[in-house]
Amino acid sequence: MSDIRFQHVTKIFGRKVEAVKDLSFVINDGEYVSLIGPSGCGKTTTLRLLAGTILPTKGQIFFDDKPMGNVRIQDRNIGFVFQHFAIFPHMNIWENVAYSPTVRGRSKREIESLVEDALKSVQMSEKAELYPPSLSAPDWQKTALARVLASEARILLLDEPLGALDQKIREEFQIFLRNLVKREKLTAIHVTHDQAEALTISDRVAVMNKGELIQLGSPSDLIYNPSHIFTSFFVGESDFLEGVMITDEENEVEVKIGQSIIKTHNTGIPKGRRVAVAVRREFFSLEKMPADGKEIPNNYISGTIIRDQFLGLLRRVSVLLENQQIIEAKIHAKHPVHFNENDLVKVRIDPAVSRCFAYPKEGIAKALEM
Amino acid sequence: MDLDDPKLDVEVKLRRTLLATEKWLSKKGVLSAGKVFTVGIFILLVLGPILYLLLQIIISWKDINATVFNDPILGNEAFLMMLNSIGLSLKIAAIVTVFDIIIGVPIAWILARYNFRGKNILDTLVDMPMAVPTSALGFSIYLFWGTNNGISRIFNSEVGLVSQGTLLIILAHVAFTFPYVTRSIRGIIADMDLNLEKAGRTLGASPFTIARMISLPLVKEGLLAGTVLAFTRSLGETGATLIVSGVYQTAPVVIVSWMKGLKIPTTAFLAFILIIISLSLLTFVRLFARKVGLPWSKVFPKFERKLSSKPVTRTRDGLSLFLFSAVVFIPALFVIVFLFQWWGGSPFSGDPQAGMIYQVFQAPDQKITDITNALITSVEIALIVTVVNVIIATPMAFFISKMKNKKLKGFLDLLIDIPLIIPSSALGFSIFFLWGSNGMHILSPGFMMIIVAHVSFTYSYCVRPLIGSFDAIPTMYDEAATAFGASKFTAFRKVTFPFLKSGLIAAAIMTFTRSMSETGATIICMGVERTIPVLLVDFFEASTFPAAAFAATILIVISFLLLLLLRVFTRGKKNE
Repeated sequence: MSDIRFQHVTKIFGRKVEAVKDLSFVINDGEYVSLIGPSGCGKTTTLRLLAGTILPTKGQIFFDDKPMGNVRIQDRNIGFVFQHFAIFPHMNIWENVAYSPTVRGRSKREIESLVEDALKSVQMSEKAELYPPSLSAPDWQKTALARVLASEARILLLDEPLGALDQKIREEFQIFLRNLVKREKLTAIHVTHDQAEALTISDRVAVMNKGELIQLGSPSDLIYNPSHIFTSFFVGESDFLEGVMITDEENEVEVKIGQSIIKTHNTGIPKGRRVAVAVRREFFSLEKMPADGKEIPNNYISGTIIRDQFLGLLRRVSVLLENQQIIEAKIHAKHPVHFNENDLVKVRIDPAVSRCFAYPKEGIAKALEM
Repeated sequence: MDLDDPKLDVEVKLRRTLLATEKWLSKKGVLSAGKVFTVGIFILLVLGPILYLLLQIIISWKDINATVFNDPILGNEAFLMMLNSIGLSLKIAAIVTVFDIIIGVPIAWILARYNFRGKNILDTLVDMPMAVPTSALGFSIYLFWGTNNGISRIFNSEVGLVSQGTLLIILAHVAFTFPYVTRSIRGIIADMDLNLEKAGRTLGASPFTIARMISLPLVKEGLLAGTVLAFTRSLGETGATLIVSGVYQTAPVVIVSWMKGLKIPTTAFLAFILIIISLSLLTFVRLFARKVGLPWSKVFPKFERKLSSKPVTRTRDGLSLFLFSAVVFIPALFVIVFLFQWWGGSPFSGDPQAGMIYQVFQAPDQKITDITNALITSVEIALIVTVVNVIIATPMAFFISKMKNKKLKGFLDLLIDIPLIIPSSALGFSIFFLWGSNGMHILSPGFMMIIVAHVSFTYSYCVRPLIGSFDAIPTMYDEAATAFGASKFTAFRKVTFPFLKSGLIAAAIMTFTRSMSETGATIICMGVERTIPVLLVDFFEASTFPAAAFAATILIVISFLLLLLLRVFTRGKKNE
């Protein structure tokens, strides 16, 4: 059992800098959770609070209902994987992995069995006698993981663990890492700046901004069900269409944007209220306007093409909508239609994947400030 | 390029001539000739004397055999005396090194890891014993421990607490050798990846266990290098030892006294043995430093956890700072207190003739003239030595830094360190032996020979930091300059050199300081002129302590100023 509970945790650096504000959440035993957010959002601070290298200014962290307030780093029984691995360069792989049981005073036989199991688990048994400088980054990564396994930690803290690996190897490692955590039944907290990695590897992802927890949800929730305007802005790319709520219902609602009526989802916004409809750029569909087409059906907005730019696997099509907002739709590179400047188009907004938020009082730019 | 075009103004003409010269200098043949010349000078000035001494020992083995082992009157008395002195020197050096580690390692840790007010001051104070002439340092330490002016005042004792001899030698040597240990590991500790230690913590180790199993092995090589340097410095020190040794003669002191009695063959043999010991140590460390394992992989978690507790670490830090103050700082600067005690007269009898003012300025022998002359000689020598060394060391440092053949580079690197670890009196003797009447007979003892000797032993102090400076300069600038059409020499002048400036000044100050403060080699190579550290020894031997204190204070002030200057330039380098 290793669940983690944050109870109103605040960390203030110096006098004023609030790195983390009133965090409260629970991570369940055996769960793989990633922390994402812009630089300085507090994700690394959260990890350091878990590790115990810093202590909360207010609030308490519990491991299995045990408060960690006065428990020192070396007694928390956590495994920490550093971005640059922090493999001890003067010890061979075996000695590195044996470090934790050795300093905890385990018997020789226990050490041997722990190290052998750990090395086997990461497929490093054959390199046990080698020294770190003669190995490459993926092997350091595996050693770092084996070292944590041999320490019998139940909680794994990973600080940008794949950041130092090449893109290709990184993708392989995401799967390797997740399988390892699941097989060993660890609870993992993973800090990364790579959203795709977080979405691939995790059971749940926590989005943070300015020291606050914005949303903690499953990867698909973050994409299809953002609960906060910042989530749709930060995870992937979205455009925000400004409009006015014209129905008074729950869930399925209608919003007027320019001349068009758009069906979408909301979370209890009253009729007449100004709203922002968030649409992921990949979820726009573009169609050329038929020559005779004057009538714009529901869920469509008309617009004019500004440019159609090739991005490799995708194309970015910039459209000036009739309400004077510009959107940057992303369509597949093999999309059959090529758009030219000044082409008239209609843009479909899928009610299933668009979300409607109350228009922030402070203005949209301010609300999305990182 | 047409240099005769009348329309060109003078500046352009000059620039073109300079560029053309540099282009010529950048030719492959010229550059190789330059390399050969650089290495040649190094061999002639630095290695030559040592090689010649070794050679002569073999060639004139019969003479040496006759005087050292089978003297008609003394038999092998000289050899026994040699063995005794070497034994004493080794014993002292070993004990000194242990103390150096006990004081030097915690201080390095404090300087590298803690932030506190006055850290800069502590930093300067730690470096100071390396810059202050050892004869001044030794004298000050003698006054503090060995006379009734210093520590014994606290106990109201009529005599000194520690008499001249082994213990006093150890106290003096610790004072100026421990900074070598501190210096050699301080930078490594500061640069160490803190995540390694954090990783250790998260894996369950206590801070003491981490320091022992992770940090220490990582500074091992530096520590070993510093320890060897401290050991060889203690083994070869002359200036302070002459003052604090009394009747106990360490090997370098024996060299000086035999040299004074012109017992050339015996001196040669003793110098030879000292050189061999130092060289073997240097080679051993260079070859095996990496392979020396630290024992004790066994861990005692509970005990080590106790050692990591706050009271224990606080006590440790406090103790090392206390030792530093009590053993190094206060005794080393006590001479200034002494100077004021004896300013106008004896503090005991009030006799004005025993005071500094009378001895230095009023007595008929006019010591102030001696002091001024010695000071001028010292500065002249130091200036010349610095200029010569900067000129011959810069190309050597560049050459070594850019060298691609790793084995050759390692070998040259090793050779560079030789003057650093060989006892300066032995080095001085081999220079006397090569250049003087026993060898090539080009120089006789005096001003010029002192310069040759100083160039030789300060060479490492000049080359070593310059290699570091060259290594730190990114090659891309040089490459960019060449890509834009500059010749190698022009690229060096315009691009590399400006980067080098602060490193060069630092090396120059270091050389100047070392030359100003050396005693052992100077005594052997000098004629009638005195440098100021030697004059201090003379004053001491003549028992005119207040005059000696005056000279020592001048030396301490000068070295302190030089040190501050050095810090200004080395700090500037860090900011770049």
